[in-house]
Amino acid sequence: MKLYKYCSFKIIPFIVSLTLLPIFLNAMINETPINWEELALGKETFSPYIFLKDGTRVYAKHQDRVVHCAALENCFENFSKNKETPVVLWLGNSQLHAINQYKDTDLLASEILYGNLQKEGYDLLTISHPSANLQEHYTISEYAKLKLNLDSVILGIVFDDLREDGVRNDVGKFLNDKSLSAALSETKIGRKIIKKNSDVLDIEDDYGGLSMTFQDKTERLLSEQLESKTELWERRAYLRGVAFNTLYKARNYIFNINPSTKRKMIKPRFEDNWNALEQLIDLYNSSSINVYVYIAPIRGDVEIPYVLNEYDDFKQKLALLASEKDAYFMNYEDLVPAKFWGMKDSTSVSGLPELDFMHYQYDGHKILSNKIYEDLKLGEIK
Amino acid sequence: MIFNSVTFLLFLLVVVSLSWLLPRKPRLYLLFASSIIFYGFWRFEFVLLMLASVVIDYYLAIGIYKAKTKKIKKQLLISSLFINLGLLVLFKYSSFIAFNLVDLFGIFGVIVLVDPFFLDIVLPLGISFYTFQTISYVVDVYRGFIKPEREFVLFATYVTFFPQLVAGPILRAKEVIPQLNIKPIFNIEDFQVGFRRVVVGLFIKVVLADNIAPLVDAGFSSEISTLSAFDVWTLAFLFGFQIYFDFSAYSHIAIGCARMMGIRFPENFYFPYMSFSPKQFWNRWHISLSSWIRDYLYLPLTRQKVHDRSTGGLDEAVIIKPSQNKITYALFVTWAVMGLWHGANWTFVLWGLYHALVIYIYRVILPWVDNIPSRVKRILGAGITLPVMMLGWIPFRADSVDISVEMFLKVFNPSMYSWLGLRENTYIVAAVLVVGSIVVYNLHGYFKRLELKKPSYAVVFETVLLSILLPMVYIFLRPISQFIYFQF
Repeated sequence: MKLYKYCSFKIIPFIVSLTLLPIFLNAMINETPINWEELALGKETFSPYIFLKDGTRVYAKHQDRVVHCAALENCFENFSKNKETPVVLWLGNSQLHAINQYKDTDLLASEILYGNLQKEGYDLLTISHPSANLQEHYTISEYAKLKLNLDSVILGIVFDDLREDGVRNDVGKFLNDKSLSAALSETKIGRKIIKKNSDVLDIEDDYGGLSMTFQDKTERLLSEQLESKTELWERRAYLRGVAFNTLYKARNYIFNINPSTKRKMIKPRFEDNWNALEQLIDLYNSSSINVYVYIAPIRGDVEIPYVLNEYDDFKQKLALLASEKDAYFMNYEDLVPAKFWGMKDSTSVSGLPELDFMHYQYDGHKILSNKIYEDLKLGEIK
Repeated sequence: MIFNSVTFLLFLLVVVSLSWLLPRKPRLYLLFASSIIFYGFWRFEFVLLMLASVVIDYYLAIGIYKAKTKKIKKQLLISSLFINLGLLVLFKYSSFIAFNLVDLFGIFGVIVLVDPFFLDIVLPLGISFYTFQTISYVVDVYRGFIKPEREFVLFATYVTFFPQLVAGPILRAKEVIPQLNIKPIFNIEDFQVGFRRVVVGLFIKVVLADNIAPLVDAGFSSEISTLSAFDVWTLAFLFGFQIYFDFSAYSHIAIGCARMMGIRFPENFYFPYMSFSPKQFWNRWHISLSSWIRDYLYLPLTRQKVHDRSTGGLDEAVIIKPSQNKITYALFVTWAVMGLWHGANWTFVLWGLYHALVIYIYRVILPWVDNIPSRVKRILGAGITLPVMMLGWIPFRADSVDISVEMFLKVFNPSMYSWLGLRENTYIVAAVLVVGSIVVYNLHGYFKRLELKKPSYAVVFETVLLSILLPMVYIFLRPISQFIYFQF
């Protein structure tokens, strides 16, 4: 009897924790599903998107053609068929695909510019990623140059994005393309991009530790079986996202980090991104493709979240680089008036709304696309 | 087979259940067969290599025991060492040796090319661990510490037993063979403790180690010239935590799996970063390897009495008296070997020599600090030991000796402390880990005391702990990476 009591006592944690496990997981899953893309933007800002038949998510489509890609997969195919028409490529960050105070009839700047350029006999392909850095733009550029009949490239540069590093999975998986990796290997920064991509553990590759092993097969099989049998297993990726998002919000709350917090330049990342920008311009120059570099609009009614002397240096440096390398340079930082900017959802556990420095309303999109169109016409697109 | 996978958990469930249901002999066959299957899930062709090592040492140990003269015993021992170390050198060090010879010839203007054979050598998983285990067995038989095991399947299970096969702990025959030799009586406490260790180990691996890894990888893949001294410190700390979490997680799971089958392994880690001296650190870090090095290399080199257990670590070999030439020589040789054991690269030798130097300095200064009150000494010691040990991880992780030296030099250059080159999260994570380690260390001590004084409170504590850890393990369990020590 004594032994029985002792055993029951010791096994309590085991029984209770195993019982609580499904209850806890169910409770997490039963919450309203989170759209991760929207979470970064907040409810006030929205990215209009369309799903293609194969499940690919895109930001804008014109008739049967994807004109604004959310990922590189299948992005270029829509243009390769139509090689005789010169293509203008527009690269940028979420500013290009998100609209503050979105209404159903709103269009993205890329869609407006597409319509205008079509009238001039040009195609426009826009590729944007949240916080896209210049190493990614350079990688995409090398690939685009191999695939498209490029006439011009428009590059929106956000100072904040120069704090980012490496290439995301969506871009990184294209490094397996031999012609792309060969092209990148020609430059120092290209080799560095390849190295970074292979050196850093890919936490999205669920089976990365099993390559070349027999266990790879059994693990995939078992995982597929579990996914088909239980939603609790299938939605683990979502639950990991919830866990990371909670940590992110807690960090912001504890350290009082919000979009208005001053972000200092990160020297090594800035330099890698700058080298990538130089290579990107050289790449297009070598093929007589026009490059239009612009400083992205930022709201001007409040103090900007950058260290001012760093930001000023950056602007001067960019103008100088453009002039040295014969690229068109435009400073659009004050282009969108204060009234076309807005607020965004909280990124902290405090829940208080925050200023949105990156995404403007539909009117801002109109202003940007019209201005770019004008500047392109002033350039060599006639 | 990787522990952090569904395949392994299913495998473990089957093996543990059957191990309790079967009588002694079939149980032994089950453990041996399951160990072979466990290894075969990586590459089946290397099972034969491991078995060859097992068969050779099984017979050589019996031969040593039966041999009439010391000369024959010695010849058989040398044969065993030659075969075991020969295989280790062939698979682990031959390409390293070849490339270094090419470089050496190059210095004298002789151009030699490395044979492609050396480029294609695959390092068999766990070879460093099972080789050290079989060497310790044969040497212990030679020294007369143990009698050779006559039952082949029992000896083979000792060498190949799956929980410790790939990354330790490195077990002594005396500690494990008697446990494998009997069918233990089922004890719920063994199961409960084992289960808890497996859950804790998986949590440490899949939640902590695997999520620190990208920060470390990104930092070490940066252009070193762009990193500040703060960045070097941060990366050293972060990698220190990553490797500790990764390796101690493996040991937790290994110890837990064995315990679930009623077998007790010695501890391999005990909060090493909370040590207040290098001596204590090496009593708490990879204890079974430190103890192995102590008994089969360091103590014989210094002609001191060896031990026959895998506990105590190098702590028991650190002599607290002014340096003598022989001891200093043994210290540096031992650490160079310890470094090379980890990998065929000069960076590991540099890592070993760094620790030899730290221990040497510790020995020299120890008499001077004897008069300091012990409380002050502990606080000061902990405050100095942690950063010194963390800094030692730089050559362990860096790609080359040049990069390691460049990083070390930054730390000692005041002008390198004027900027930050990493993303803010990297510093936050490093700081949280340092504070978290201190909190967990104290909580662990509190839990141990609670278990003795108020067992019912300890049960509540454990229930809460498991209720938090289990869902996290469930969510994060993915074989996204191998354990770092698999490559050694």
